Amino acid sequence: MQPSSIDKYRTYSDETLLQLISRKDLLAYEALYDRHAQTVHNLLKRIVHDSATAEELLQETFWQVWQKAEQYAEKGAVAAWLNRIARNKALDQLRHDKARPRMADDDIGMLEQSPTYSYEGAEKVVEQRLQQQQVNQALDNIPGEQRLCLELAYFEGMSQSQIAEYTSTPLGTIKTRMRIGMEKLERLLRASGYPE
Amino acid sequence: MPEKQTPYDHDPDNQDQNHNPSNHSLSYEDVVELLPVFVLGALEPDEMLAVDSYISQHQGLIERLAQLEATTAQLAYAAPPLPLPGHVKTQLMQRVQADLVAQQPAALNLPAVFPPRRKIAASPSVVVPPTAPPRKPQTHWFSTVTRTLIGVGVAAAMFLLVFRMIQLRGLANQLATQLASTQQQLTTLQAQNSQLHTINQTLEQQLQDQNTQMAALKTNLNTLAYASQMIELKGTDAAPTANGVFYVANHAGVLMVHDLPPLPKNQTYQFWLIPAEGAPLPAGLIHVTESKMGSLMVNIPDQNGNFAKVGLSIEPSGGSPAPTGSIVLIS
Repeated sequence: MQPSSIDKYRTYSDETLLQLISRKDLLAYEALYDRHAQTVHNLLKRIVHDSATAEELLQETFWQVWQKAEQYAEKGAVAAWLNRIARNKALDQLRHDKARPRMADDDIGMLEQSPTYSYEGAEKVVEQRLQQQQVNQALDNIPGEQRLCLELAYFEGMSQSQIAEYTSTPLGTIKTRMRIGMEKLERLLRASGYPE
Repeated sequence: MPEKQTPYDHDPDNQDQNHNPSNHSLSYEDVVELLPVFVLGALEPDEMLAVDSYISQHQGLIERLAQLEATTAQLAYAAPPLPLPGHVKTQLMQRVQADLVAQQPAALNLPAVFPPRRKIAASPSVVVPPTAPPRKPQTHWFSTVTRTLIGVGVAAAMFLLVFRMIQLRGLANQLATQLASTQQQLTTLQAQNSQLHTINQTLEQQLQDQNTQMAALKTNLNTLAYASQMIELKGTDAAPTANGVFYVANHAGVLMVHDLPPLPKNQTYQFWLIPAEGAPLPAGLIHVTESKMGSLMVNIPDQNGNFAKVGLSIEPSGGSPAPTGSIVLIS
C-alpha cells in the first residue's frame, strides 16, 4: 500500500473530511482535528474557565465527531457545526456544575493574550490569527453594553432575563441591545468577508 | 401569509417592554425580531419553543436563520487563544484507534473461536441384526447350542465393528470441522495483522510528517515571536480587498496574506523585497489556499536587509526574476 501522507488530507475541504470520517478514515479525522481543535479549545476554555474540563470537553466534542460524522446535515459550515457541539457541551457542563464561577472582569472583552500554537502548519496559525482579528475588530466596533450582552449569552449561556438580572438592567433594554448588537455584528463581519 | 423581508431599519432606541410573544401566537415580524437572540439561545424556554415551532412551519425563515447562525459561530473566534494541549490529541487518537480495531472483527464477520463440538453419533444409528426366526427343535441339541453360540459371537463382533466405525467417522468429521475453523481463524488473524501493520506504517508516517511540520513551525513562530518590524501590505486595484502583514526578525521574515483569490495552475503569487534604489528582488512564491489565505517564510540575506518596500505580484508558474504581472499587494 502506498504510504498515505496527511498533507494530502490537509488540502481537503471540511465537508470532504467529514465524509471520509464517516467511513472511519483516521487521517481525515486527524486533519479535521488539527484544523479546528485550537478554536474549539479556546471556546471551551472561555466558557468553562477550567483547563481540565476544557480538555475533557475538547476530547468529547471530537469523539462525537468520530461517532456521528454522518449526522452532519450540510446546512452550514462544518466549523459552525463543531463550535455548536462544543458550546452546547460546555454550557451543559456549566448547568451541571451548579456552582458556576462568575465571569472574571478581565474576561470581558479580553482579546489576544500571548498565544502559543500547536504544531500545525504556519498557514493554520495565520488563518486563525486573521480570523480572530476580524471577529475581535468587529466586536470592538459594537458598543460595549451590546457586546457585553452578546458575550454573556454566547460564552456564559445566560438568557435575556438572566443578563438583565446580572447587569441590573431592564429586560426590554437587554432585548434591544442583544438584537441590535447581533445585527451590527452581522453587518461588520459581512463587511470584512465573514462569515463566508 | 406573505413573508416580508427582514426589517433592519428598526429604531435602535425602541425598547418595547411589553413585547412578549411567548404568550400569544407569533407574527412573522415577531419571529424575525427574535431570531438574533434565538440563535444565541438566550430566549426564555417557552419563547425558544415558540420560535422553533414557527420556523419549522415557515421555510422562508430558514435562510435568515442560517445567516444568523453563521454569524453566531464566528463568536467562537473571539475567545482568547490558548496553548492547545498535545496530550488531548494523543489520547483521542488512541481512543479512536481502539474503536477502529474493536470494529474490525464485526466488519470481517469473524467466526466464533471454536464451533460447538458435535456429539458422537449415538446408538440409534447402530443397526441391530434381525433376530433369527425360531427354528424347529433339533435332535442334536449339542450342535444346536454350538451354532447358536457361534452365531451370537459373530453378531456381537459385527455389532462392535459397526459401532467402532461409526465412532471413528464421527471423530474424523469433528477433526475436519475444527481444522477448517482453525484455518479460517488463521486467515482472519493474518488479515488483521496486515491491517495493524498498515496502521502502524501510517502512524509512523504521520509522526515523521508532524516532526517535519513542527520544525518548520518552530522556525516561523520564532520569527513571529521575535519580530522587530511589522510591515502592512494593502491591496491594489487588482485585489482591492486583499491585505497582508510581513513580520521581520533579523534575517528572516514571515509573510501572511488574506483575501487573495487562488490562482490557476499556470500562475503563482511572488513576493518581492523592493530596495530604495534598483530592481525588486524575488523573495519567494506563496501558495494561497481556497480560504484565500497564505503564508511564506522568507530568508533575508544581508545585502537585501535594507529594502524600502515589499510587494506581491502575479507571475507565471515557477516565478520570474523580475515582476512581470499585476501587483496585488504593496506596502
